[in-house]
Amino acid sequence: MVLKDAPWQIGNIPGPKQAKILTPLGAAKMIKRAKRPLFIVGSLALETELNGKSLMDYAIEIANGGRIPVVAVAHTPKGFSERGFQPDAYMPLINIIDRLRDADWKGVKGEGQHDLVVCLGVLYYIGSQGLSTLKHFAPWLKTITLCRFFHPNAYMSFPNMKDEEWRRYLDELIEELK
Amino acid sequence: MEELKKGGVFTISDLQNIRISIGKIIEEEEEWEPMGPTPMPSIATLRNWDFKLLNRYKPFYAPVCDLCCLCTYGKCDLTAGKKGACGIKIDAQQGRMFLLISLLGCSAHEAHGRHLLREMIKKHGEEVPIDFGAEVNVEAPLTRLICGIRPKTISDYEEVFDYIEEQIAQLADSLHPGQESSYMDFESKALHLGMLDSLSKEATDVVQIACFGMPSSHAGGGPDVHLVDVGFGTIDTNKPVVLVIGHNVTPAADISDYMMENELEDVIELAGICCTALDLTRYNQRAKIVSALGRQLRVIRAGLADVIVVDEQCIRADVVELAQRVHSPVIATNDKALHGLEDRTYDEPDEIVADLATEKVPGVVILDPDRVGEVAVKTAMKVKKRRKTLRIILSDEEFKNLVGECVQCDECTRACPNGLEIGEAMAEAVKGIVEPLSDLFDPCVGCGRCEEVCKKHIPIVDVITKAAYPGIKEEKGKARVGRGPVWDTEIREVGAPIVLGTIPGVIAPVGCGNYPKGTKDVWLIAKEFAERRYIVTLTGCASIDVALWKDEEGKTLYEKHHGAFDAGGVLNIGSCVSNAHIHGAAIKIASIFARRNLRGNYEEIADYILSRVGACGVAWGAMSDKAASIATGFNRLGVPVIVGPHGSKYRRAYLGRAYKKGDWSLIDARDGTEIYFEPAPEHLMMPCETVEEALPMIAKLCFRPSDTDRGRSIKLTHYIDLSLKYLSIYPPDWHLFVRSETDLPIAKRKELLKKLEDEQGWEIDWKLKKIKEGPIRGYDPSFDPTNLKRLVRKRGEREKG
Repeated sequence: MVLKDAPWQIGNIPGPKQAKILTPLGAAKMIKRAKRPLFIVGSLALETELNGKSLMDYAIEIANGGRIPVVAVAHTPKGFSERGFQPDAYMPLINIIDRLRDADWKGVKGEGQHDLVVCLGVLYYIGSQGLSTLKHFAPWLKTITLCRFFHPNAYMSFPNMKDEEWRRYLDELIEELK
Repeated sequence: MEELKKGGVFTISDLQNIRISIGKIIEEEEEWEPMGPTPMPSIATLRNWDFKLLNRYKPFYAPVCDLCCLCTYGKCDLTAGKKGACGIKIDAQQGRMFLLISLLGCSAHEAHGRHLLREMIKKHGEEVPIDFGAEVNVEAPLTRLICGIRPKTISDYEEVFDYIEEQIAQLADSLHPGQESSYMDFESKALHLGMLDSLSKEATDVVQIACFGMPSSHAGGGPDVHLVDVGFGTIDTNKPVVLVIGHNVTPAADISDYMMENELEDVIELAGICCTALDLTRYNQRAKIVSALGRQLRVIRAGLADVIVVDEQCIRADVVELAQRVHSPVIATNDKALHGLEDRTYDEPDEIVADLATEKVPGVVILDPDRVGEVAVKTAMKVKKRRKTLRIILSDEEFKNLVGECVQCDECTRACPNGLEIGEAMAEAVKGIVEPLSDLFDPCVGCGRCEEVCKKHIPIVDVITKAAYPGIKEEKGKARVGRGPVWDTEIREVGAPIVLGTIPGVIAPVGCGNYPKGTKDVWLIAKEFAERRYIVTLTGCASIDVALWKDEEGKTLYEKHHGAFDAGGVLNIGSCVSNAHIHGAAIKIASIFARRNLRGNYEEIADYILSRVGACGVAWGAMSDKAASIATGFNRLGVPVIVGPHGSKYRRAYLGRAYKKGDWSLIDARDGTEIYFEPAPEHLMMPCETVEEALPMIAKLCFRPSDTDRGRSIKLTHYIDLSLKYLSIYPPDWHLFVRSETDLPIAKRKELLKKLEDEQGWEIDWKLKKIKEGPIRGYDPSFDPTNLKRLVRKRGEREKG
């Protein structure tokens, strides 16, 4: 049995500062409290289904429920457009991470730099690298991840879990955001 | 005088106890081009150029490790701004780590070249001419550019390697605690190493082309190089198989020579993995390429080889252990990779063969490449008889039992670089459905980490190979052999279209096989751009992997597209060291087409390439330190590079920020005016998450400020089209690249003008169908972009135009 808070990829042990485990309720509270949250949705959202429901649909429900601006990364614009959902921005993951580490950037809505980043569906290892950048170079920012893989470089992360448990986590989060 | 030329020692009779030693007579060199400002630059010589690049393309760091453990003060926690015991911060530490990575990469290429040069001088003497035929006058553009030398014989490269080695030592020194402290300076040094890496590669390939008669512009070279077999299925295992692995072709060439001298070409199968295979096929038309690096473990474990000959680089550290498992003896041939084997260089060949064939020893070292051929061939012939009776691939029964042992713990998935769902595929195989397992064969990068964590000790690699075996046996592709340098005559034809933009770009898929989703992605990249009439130049593992895939007519890209450096060409330039000829092509555009002086003139040529040559490197499966130094060498020369998502683990990218106007200013060399311009190219080094994301990005990174309106409209067409095709959206920044209505593709001009008006608020004169207000700058066909103030033309030059 994989530990709940072990890095999902075995060798991905960054250093002394590692994420704390996040619950759906905790995630909902952080999203609600944030002044300028941002939601990054990555490529795995296009490939993942939970009980017949696409992770893209979960992403849209979370975005709508939490009223969080969405940055579509990788080729997720395709999935959003098929669902008639208009993300607030499209850019490669590396570019949004670069903007988030820039204290002068005004955010996707031009209202100021973000204070919370929520990640879902980003390829694990490039996502982990991006979270590492933010951990080191964007001290104003909190990062949380909603995947079923524990991300040590995040500020808080959902634990390692099987699909069924993850589905429950996402459903609970969506419920809390309503 | 002849004595002196030979470097002899002499005494002068009247002067006792004095000895004068003359190492080399410097002959008066013909004045082939005036010397530029920076021949053989040292660490800080090009620092200003580097800082220009780094101020626009800011280093972006993604630490893999938050600690520093390079001295005994440590481990030091550098998280989020904490300083280490020596005072270093996390950004500088990342720059330092990238410098170390580049150092390893560059050293590998340089040491390969030095080793090869020594062997070749020993074998053929110093005077082997560098003559690449009538079509190639600029034989070594990087050597001319960086060193200010026009090499005539291979011995001219002694001086080049001396220079690189001295620089490598200085750069290695700067890594030590208490030396460099600024991340910008670490990056400048990494760029210096990248440049030295490109020079090392060119030097190595020039020497091997000259000495082995590899293709250049003599008959059968260039676009006309022959096709070679690629793939598991091309190997005739009924014959004794000699498998060569690595990058230094010298011992493989000796095996080939021995086979020819003893008329064994029809008796023995000579095949290779990785760059040694690529270079061997440039020497021996009948040799075959089994695979790129990514399949090394699986090729060995599949038991194809009756003897394995390794030289240097990209060899698995467990090669001897893997080979023992399938009873294949190993011959190590390079002192940099001895694998713990006994040195038998000067033993009688038959004694060595007997020991290897009876498995008395798992392998031997033979350091004289001229003694490898006989031992390798004789061993393969003897071992074959014994190995014929072995069954390596799992039986159906073994397969069934092994997949049944899986307990779905997911540890293999957690250990897999690509997170492959191996357990789920095993569960399906238990039910008799093997496709999910066999589908893992290509996306598997062949590292074997899954087996290291399997609690049930399932040989997962063998299980996947068994599932995929029916397909693997039929894997038969074709690749063009490495053609080496791009011809000067080709550059004369395409220099203008590339600089003007009507050939929309040169795309260079290069490097290793650490792909996120298998080899097909690199094929897709090459196919997409070749069909759009870009020039596609491949090297290294990428050039092998694209040959594995065929279209509906059963043709590989090499069979479908011509091999000339021209629109729509798919060129195999060669091995990793041949990669330097892609730099060379860009440099030749500046020198042959634009008539810029090359000699010792690095900064000006790089400035020209950055502003005018729409080229983009794509190391989609970048894995090694060499790939990092290769990319960094491209970057210093002004060529952007995209890496796959695993490339994020290099820890560093160079990213432009299109939203910061101040970062995007150029000088118009006609009069020194500062011009704000579109972000072209926007980035210098970046990882992409998926191939769908990468494809439009590659097209975007081919924009250059010098594009004519016709060229820009072609580039814009592809950028928009690729984005619509793979992302289903217009690129959000396409308008940044529009300078005037004539930049817009004619067929879509009205629609695009409307979008500019509606979405960007640009002012359009609909009567004239002209843009009145909106673009970052207008289109000026005479614009002469430069980043270097010193290139602003003086009044007299301006009047001449």
